[in-house]
Amino acid sequence: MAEIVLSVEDVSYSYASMDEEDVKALKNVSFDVERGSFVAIIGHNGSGKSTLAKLLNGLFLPKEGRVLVLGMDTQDEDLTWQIRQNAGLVFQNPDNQLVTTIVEEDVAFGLENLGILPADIRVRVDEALEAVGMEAFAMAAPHMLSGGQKQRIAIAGILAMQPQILIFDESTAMLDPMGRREVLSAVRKLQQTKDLTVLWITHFMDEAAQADRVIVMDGGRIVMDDTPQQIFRRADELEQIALDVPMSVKIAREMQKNGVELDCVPIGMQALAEAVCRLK
Amino acid sequence: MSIEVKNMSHIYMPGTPFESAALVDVNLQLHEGEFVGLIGHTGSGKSTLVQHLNGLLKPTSGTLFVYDVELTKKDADMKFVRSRVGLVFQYPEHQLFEETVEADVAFGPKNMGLGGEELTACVKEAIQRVGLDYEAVRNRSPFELSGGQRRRVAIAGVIAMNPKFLILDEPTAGLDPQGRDELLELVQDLNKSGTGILMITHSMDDIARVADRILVIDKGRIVMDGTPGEVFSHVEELEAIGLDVPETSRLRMLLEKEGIELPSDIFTAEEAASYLCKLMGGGSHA
Repeated sequence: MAEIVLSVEDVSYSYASMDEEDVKALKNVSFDVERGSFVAIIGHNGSGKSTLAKLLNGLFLPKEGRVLVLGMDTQDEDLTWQIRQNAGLVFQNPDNQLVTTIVEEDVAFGLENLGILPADIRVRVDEALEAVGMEAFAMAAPHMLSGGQKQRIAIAGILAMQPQILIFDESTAMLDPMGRREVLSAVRKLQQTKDLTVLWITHFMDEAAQADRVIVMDGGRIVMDDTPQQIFRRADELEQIALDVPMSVKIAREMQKNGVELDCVPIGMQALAEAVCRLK
Repeated sequence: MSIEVKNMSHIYMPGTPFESAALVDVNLQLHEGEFVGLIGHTGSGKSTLVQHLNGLLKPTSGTLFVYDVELTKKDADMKFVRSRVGLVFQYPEHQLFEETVEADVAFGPKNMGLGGEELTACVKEAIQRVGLDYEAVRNRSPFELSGGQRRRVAIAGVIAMNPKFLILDEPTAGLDPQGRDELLELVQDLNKSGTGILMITHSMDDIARVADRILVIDKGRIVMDGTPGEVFSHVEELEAIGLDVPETSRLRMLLEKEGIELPSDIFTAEEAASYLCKLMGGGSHA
């Protein structure tokens, strides 16, 4: 079994509310993440996904239970910076994450704050930009870039800190389809070539379908945790908690209702087309 | 005819080194009560185009008629045009500003001269039309509502002006699957009650299912204009200009290579499944 890099142990979290009882956003959530895996987290709005993301690098601290990042407890204030350096968080809105007027300065921003030597910063910035395929834009102004390009710059800024875990909180929600593909394929490449661990929170089922593992959240709890094939087999349950399944799975399910059974749960149209051809 | 665009071009920052043509010789007619989808990748000119249709931008050249008002004329009645054509921007909930939902929705119609009972009735109707409970939300701060509800309030603020044509710029962006479905239903309901719709979107599965007609824009030009079935049969051309196609169109293309024909106007899972089942000779032909 691969090394566990992230461990969420019986975590609960609640938000203070002015007039009522505290709002419980997470209830007794537990899971481990193995090094190098790509884990998607899905759930409707208010299911607790974003709260969970913020607990994973110590932006929020659990009210109960604990979160271990590479064995470091997020409650331990002395470890906060080390934890954040190792578990980088990419948010939804690209415009809220870039702070400087030149791309490479933005990527260097975190490193300067860590007190890295200028020569080392140069090397790390170049490597990070290359890793997301944005080296040609090192001197560009962030506001002239597309959404997908901006998100890749935000990712480069985090990569430069050399983290082991990347957490994406709906980082493709504001992008067009091309931007979404750009970002997702850049992240997949990093996960595969640099052995990074990725947690990918999304509303897009076709993105979740590409993960190694899918965690489904509802009402602050984990309700499913399995491979995409096994998760999307449970289409009826997913619909009950206001989630969707990929179109290919929907069609397969409708065919089944009409009495035609495919030999697999087709994730993606290619898989569906092949399964249909096998029927012929 | 509601809106007619003739040979319209728009050039940003003309005469500077940053000069760029955002729209090139666009010709377009939008009809009463139509549901039209506008697709194109980021930077193709979609938003520039729709901002002309209620007079927020003026064309560099060409003419533009909105409900018989020639917008390009100096003395065009802009107030009239904006009461006819409502524009819902991307992430419209970012533009809420009033202390209560009711006051926010009332802002537009009030500026159009409505007052008293007439105003209250129109605000109430708009809030109900977007599927919110008027009594429950009227005195709440818009900022206490969920993201999906805030977006509805913002849309209510535009509907309250009773536009004949409603333009929506990616109304489902950032919503979860249920929020997306609910918002689409709302837009379909508005259309059924006679409001013309022009919707910018990146969700091809959705727009193929709900629109009567699809416009494709690329580099500032309208490059396709037809029914969803016609437009989305051009999978390779659309992909070449950076666009997605509905999942069912992709399936159609994949199956075609294997000698299995799927009609080009099938866009729902149910239709695709029942067609495939018939083709496979199995299934209950109920």
